[in-house]
Amino acid sequence: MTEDIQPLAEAASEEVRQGQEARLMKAWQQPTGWRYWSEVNNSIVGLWYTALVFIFLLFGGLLALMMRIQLAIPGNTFLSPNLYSQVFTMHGSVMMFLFAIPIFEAVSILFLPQMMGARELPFPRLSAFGFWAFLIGGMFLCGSIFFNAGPTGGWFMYPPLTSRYQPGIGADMWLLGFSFIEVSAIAAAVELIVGVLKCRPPGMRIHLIPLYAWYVLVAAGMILFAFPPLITGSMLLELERAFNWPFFDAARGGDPLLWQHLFWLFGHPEVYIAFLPSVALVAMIVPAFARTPIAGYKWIVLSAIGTGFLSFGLWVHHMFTTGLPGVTLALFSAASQSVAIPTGVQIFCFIATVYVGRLRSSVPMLYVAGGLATFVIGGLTGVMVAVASFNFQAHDTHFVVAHLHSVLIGGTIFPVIAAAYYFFPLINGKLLSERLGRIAFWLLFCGFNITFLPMHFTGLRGMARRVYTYPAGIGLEGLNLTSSIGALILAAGFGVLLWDILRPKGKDADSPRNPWEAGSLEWLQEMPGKPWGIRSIPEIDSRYPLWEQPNFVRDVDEGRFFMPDAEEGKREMLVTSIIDAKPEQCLRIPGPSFITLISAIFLGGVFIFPTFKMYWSMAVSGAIALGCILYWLWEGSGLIPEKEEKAIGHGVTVPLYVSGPSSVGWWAMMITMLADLTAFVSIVFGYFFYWTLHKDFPPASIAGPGWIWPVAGLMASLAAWALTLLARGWNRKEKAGWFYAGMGSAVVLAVFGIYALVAGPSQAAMNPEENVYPAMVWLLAIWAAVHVAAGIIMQLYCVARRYAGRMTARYDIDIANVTLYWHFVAITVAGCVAVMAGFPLLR
Amino acid sequence: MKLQRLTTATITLLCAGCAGPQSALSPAGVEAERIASLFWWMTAGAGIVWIGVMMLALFAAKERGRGERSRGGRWIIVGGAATPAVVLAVLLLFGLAMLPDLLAVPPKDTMRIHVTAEQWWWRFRYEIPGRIPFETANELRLPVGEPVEFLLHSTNVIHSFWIPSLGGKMDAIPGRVNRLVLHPTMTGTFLGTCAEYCGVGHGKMAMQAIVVPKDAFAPWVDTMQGAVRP
Repeated sequence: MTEDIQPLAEAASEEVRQGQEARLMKAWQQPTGWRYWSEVNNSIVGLWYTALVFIFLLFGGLLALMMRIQLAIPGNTFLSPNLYSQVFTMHGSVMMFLFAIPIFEAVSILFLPQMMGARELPFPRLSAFGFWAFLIGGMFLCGSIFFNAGPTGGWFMYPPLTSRYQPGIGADMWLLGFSFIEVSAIAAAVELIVGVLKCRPPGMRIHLIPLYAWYVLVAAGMILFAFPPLITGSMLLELERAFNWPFFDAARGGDPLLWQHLFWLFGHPEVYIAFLPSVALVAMIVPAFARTPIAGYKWIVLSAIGTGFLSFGLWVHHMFTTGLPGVTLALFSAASQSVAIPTGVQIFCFIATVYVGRLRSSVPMLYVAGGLATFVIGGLTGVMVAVASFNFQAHDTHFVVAHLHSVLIGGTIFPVIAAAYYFFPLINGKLLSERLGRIAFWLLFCGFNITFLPMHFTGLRGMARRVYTYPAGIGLEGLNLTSSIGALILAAGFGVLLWDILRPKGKDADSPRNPWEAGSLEWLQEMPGKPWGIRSIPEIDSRYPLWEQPNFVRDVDEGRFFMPDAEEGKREMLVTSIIDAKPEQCLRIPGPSFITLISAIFLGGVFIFPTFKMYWSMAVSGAIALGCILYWLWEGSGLIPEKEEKAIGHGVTVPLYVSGPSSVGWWAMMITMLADLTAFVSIVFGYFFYWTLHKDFPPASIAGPGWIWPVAGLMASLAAWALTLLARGWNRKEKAGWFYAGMGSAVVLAVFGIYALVAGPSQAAMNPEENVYPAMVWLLAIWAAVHVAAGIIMQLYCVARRYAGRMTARYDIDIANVTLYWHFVAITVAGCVAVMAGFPLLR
Repeated sequence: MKLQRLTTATITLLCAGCAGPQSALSPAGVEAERIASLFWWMTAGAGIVWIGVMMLALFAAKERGRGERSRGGRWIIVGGAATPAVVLAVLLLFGLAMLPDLLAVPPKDTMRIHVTAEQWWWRFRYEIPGRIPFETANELRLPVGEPVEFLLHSTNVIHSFWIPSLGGKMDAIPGRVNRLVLHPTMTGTFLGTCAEYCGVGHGKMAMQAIVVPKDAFAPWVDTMQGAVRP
């Protein structure tokens, strides 16, 4: 039992320890030269990711500066109306999609493993792939404005403006480009969840996890359920733009309001996904400077979870002026106000921690304090706009602009800067400058307030949002000029910050180890850090091991805990159980590889080519991307080890290969499919939205798909699913013949299933351009068919793996995960058929 | 009602900088008055809360090496959960109490104006019982002291109809008709604007509402009738 494990009473001899370190270095060494870019180690990928996110932050900030220059005086001609539209669209979109979410993911990739005493995240190539996708997608989108082809629909892209009134590629770039980014964001979220649940040090039970990890769980979980509605909505809007399917065209039964629901179902949780991880950073910083454990750990965890949950029930407060009934307004008004309560609890826990402890002054705490002061203003104005009656005046005015920047700059940006000053030594062993940090802070804090405090009044005095100019003589000149001057001060602050980060630090003294004398695991790092991360995986008994476990740092350094060596020269990490963190597997993780970059390029093509209507290129790019992914899986995952088990120290042995619900891959599949299912549920939501609000859905004159073909498709798909399930059993029992026959039949049945699902709308001659009802039915059928098709590829993959000897009765992770996927296919096809064929029968 | 009028009037006087022909803070209509009054009360409350939280944080930060965890725990419950809950509940009651009047269907004989939002101007169609319907562009004339029912519609993209001095806004969405009721209480010219991004012309989609004494309104309708050839 690991509860009884103590570190070794004596360290191994100096010679043995040097041998261990040499082997660790060899396994974890970074490649040099141009091969450096094939690295997948989280410390390196996390660094690239964080740097790129900061570049996008600066780009978004420059766009904002351009807007403020244009608005400094009425009737200004600095930006033309069209260019202004591109600038405000890109400012919002860059900040929300290329900064607010990615900063959380980048920082987590960089530091989460260290906070949990781990050497890596469980899917390093996935993190690297996510980075490359982010780079490609981000450059594609930001580049558009330089060609005067940027999207002009606002970051919220409301149809019908964006569906029928914006020809050109701008809107398509937004829809396709950001969908690509969103997919990579979901991939990162999946990895982070699995990392927090399964990759902890022994003894780090669920109530001992660092608060940052709890917030990662909440925010990543929110990403899983918030991004899919947007992806679905974007799919609908792009289908309307490219193929004239009338989802948002009122004349053909569509409804612009469906977009707003889907967008804000994403959009509201999005701002909490941006905010909560920054609070998480504060939760790690405050205890260090208050020199005491966090007060109210359980309260904070419950509040974070509560905020996450509640945030999914507020979205309609962005739609208070669309003509909704009073009951709806009242409900969402109440819910929107109530989210202030768990938010407040977290803040009060930080204040209580400071009260209980002995606070030291420092640059990170200065930013935390400034962030708190600013965020509370934003929270209060948020409660104000949550009151529906006041919202009628404030909505879509600069009052909301002031509110949102108060919460985002106060709640996200200031904590991130605090974290930059706090965590910087972990990056290269140097400290940022105290003096420059304080100068930057005052510039930023004053600049922020001068810019945004007047905006509350600018808005209520009649200035709407997204306007490239305003009338003179109605009292808006002074307010706008003040805001614009404030923006310049804010920009100066960012300039000082940038200089502090980029200035050469070669002559600076190295930071001492654990410069802030913090208690959490990431501060085990030596200055500068070693590529393998932590020297040995510790046994944890408390939330602040560096403070509370005796001789902790020495024991880790001398390899007195688990896995102090890399005997076979491979990169390895420990996988543990979810609740009690008992060791379950020694996971071998891949080293550097370019497949991540290549896959990202071709998958990017799948999103970029259709922007220019190059559909054949899209298909080819997709086929190559699929090939890359199959190669990636074949060569690098589910590898059969040379031995069954490995000793990790202290008499504990764990398997090297695990399949099924204990394995990280299984959890990754489960979590990914939950996101996929959410996207499907969003489509079904659309179907019932039309049915609820429109009398003639379906219209009497248009025939439905009937029930015969859809049910045939369902039967065939369910049979394929059942056979796959049975084949998993046959594989385990070494019944090869049955396995191949079963899988082969499953593939044939699945192919027929695809045909039958599509035959429903096809045989009924349903024309998706004619009305939203046939479009919806076609969409459901195609969605189900595509999922079955992916399932067929997976079935064939399993057959090939078995045939090549890479999958056996014992080592069957491939079919274990594919079976899990097929459970979700069964649910999806059943749901699709129930809605498109079953529901009409009920009426 | 009287308290609201008094509050808004006092504050508008104090804050003369808030006046303007397109200002929600210098109300000239019933709805705008109520909302402005709510705003000032909420601002005062928000100011007190903000100062309170800042003082609490500063007090907590003074180094004293207390180390007593139980007191910290009590703070969290009282400060973080209970106080906001009470304050928010009160605010909710007041805020929601205003909603029924703001959303109410007006009496059947209320003057009705059909608003069609175009790109990028406002088409107003007056349908007065017993008179021939007529249209104006970007300019509204309204009698003081009478409710007006606006029926909002768009044939192109989503727009939003907003005259801040008179009341809140309502969107004009293709495929539906939304209703907004306003009661002007002062004569004068009040400016309005589109408040939902609708394309490049959004920033210039202005309108004006000229509120005239009741006895000046009927003659104006007569002249507009003369302008309409049956």
